[in-house]
Amino acid sequence: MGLLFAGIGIGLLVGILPGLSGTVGMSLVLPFVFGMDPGDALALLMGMVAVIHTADTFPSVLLGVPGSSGSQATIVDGYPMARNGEASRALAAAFFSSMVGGILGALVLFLILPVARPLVLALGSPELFMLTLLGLATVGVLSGTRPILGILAGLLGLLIGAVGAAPAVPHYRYTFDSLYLFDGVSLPVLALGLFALPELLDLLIGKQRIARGAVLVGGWLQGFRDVIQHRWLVARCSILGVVIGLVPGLGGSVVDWISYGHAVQSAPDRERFGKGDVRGVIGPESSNNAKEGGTLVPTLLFGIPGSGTTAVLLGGLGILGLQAGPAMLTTHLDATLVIIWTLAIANVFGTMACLLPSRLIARISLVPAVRLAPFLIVVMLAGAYQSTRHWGDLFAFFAIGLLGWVMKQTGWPRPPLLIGFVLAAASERYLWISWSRYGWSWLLHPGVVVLGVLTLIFLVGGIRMGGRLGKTGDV
Amino acid sequence: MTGPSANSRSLGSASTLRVPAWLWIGLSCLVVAGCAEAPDLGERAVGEVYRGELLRIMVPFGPGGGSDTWARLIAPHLQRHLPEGARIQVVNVPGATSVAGANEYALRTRPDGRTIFVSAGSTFFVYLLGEPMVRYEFRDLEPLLASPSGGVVFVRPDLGVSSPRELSRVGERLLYGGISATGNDLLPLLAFEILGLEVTPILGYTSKGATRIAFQQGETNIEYQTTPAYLTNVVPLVEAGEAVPLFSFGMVDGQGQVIPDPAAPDLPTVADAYRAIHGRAPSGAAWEAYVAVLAAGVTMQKVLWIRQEAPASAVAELREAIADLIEDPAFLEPARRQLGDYPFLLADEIDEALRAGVGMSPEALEWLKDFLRERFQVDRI
Repeated sequence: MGLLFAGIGIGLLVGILPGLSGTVGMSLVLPFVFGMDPGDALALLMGMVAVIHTADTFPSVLLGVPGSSGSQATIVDGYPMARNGEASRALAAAFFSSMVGGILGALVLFLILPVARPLVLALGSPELFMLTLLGLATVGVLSGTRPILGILAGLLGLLIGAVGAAPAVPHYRYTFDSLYLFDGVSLPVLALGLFALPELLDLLIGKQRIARGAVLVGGWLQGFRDVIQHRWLVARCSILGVVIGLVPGLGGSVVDWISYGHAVQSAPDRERFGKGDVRGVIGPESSNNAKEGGTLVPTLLFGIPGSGTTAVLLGGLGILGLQAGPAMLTTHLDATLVIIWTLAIANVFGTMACLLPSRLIARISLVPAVRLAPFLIVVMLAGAYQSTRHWGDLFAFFAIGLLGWVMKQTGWPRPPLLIGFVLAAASERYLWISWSRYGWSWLLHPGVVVLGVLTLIFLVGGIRMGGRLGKTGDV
Repeated sequence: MTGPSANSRSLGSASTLRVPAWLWIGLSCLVVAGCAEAPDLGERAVGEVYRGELLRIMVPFGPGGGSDTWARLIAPHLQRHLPEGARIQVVNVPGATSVAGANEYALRTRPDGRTIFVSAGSTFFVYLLGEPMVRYEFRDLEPLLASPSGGVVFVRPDLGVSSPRELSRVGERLLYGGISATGNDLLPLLAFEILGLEVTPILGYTSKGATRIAFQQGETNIEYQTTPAYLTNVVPLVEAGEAVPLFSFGMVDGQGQVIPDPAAPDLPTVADAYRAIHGRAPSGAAWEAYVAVLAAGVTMQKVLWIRQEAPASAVAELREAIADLIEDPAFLEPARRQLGDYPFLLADEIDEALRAGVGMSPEALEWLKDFLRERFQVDRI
């Protein structure tokens, strides 16, 4: 139990610091795992994994800086809420839905464990490719009044994602013989540069503070009430989180965007999205904790990590003498159950740990940007440099920051660029494999057809909705 | 690079560098200011060199992968065999399939004996093929320890074959899923070529775990896994009648001969499979290239190196500690569980295997490059 709390503590810290991902947290605790009792070690590892996406909401909401890859969609509405002075309400809603999502996620994971194997095996490369298209289609939802700009930004993201080694053949694109570019642009650098730097620049230029008004409105209770009022949204997004999370090699990074898209499309009134609608916070937050349960399925049953975090978890399991594979459901079932229930318990404690100081921390939004900026710039630079620890990270950070600022000034939507970037490698990879394996015939696979229709609905719905939506807010 | 070194004591033994450096930058600055120049290890006697010192193992891949797990398995045990107060820290320098880390080790670390390096099969492959980004030279490094890891080729039962000889009659129905032609997949692709199998390679999967799923889905029907993964994940499939093992890659012994894989001794090797299909022993440039790639990718799948310019006393002390390590049951038991039942190789045996691998004849190298250029559009070599 003590180790569970140690894990929770580390997870919260890693989540709060922007640009740090679960992979870093995992490598931080891994050395301690040697020689530990497997039950204790699993509590430590899972305690950390479970709460990262709870704590990462702080920077997303308060500063408009994605705390980790799981809370990118939260900034679309969470940060405008902070600007409206509703930081406490946004945080409480986020934490509460994170907790419910985390617990529901663990529960769903427990229930689908027996059928998870055939489910994963049903998703071949063509189906995975269609899932990346579905993720890209949320672009239509996110780009507000001018879908064409959203689509162009998404394509630009795909292009930036193409930098570096091609997925299947040893060709290098746009690397200019620089070893740094061989691996492409790193996600934390892109996310920080795209969202955080432009935000900070504008706050400084306007000599503003984050909350426009001088007082904070709305509090905890309001946040709780929001979650209870939108309980079905929480439930749907949690299930979405688990299901998308269990898709190997894709899940983690798109889940929050897809649930954001779902939150917008299922809402009867959409005017306030992008300007601080609490549903835009609840959707992604309930799914990003739930997905941790989902990503465990490919990790535990097939030995395939669903995210960087689970890749290191896999290493940790190896150290404990547990080999991921079908045996996790038979001989090692006890370990699997420890993992699932630790996930649920850690979610509860993680939420409490975040909720208690949140009222105080929300006051950051009242600090003038001039005083906040030096601290934030150091944190962002460290976060960017941390991703590959190469000087190139700093150059890339400023270059992308400039791009992000120009996009913000000229009213181009930035989330589609991020989605395009995240999905670039996966969509190219699975299209290539589908083509070289099946030729044209993969287009007729039943799964492909179903996902294709869904994608079309998303796209058409997004474009039609665009006409009715007001101008997008801060992001 | 310097951040966490000063605080690893508080972190425990085998720590990592991919941790939030700024948390400790302040602390480290204080410590660095306190001890301006690190003492020269070369002035100490063997048995004293690493007393109270920090030894870093540089891994050219991110945390969680095979090389990282290997280094983290060894680190705490090796630390026990070094003098009192020595600490070992695993440092990840990922990038460009290990070229970035290997370049950094060979060109930018100080040859003071405080940093050693782990290479993987792919570190050798890009070197053998003359990838232009490679700036390191294995001849400037001293091998300390090597750990082999073989591979087993298996097929789906619906192909209806049970031996390599039957496999050669299947025709064009064979589909192989891999990651990239210049990575570890080079070995199976060469094996298929030598055996004369008509295999359609489908490259671009993210990992050998993803190709295993593709195999189970029927997206592919011929597949290989490294022996440890084969034993834990594929043997259950074989027992359930969902996979049929056909042959192993084998291993290269000191004389350059291909011998059975010690972890899968009952399976024929590629050499045996060739004999079964063609009725004679394999030979020629293609076979020579296969043996070289086998030596680099299997016999020396993971190698621990130190810079040649490192102090002789440091190298001697590390060699002693490693010789003790590979006799230590407390290390061998978890090692066998995780890496499979392979012997560890020390410097002399590695040198022999190196000659078989790195010393490929010009004809064989040319054949290999032509094979990759013509069949896999590899145009950088």
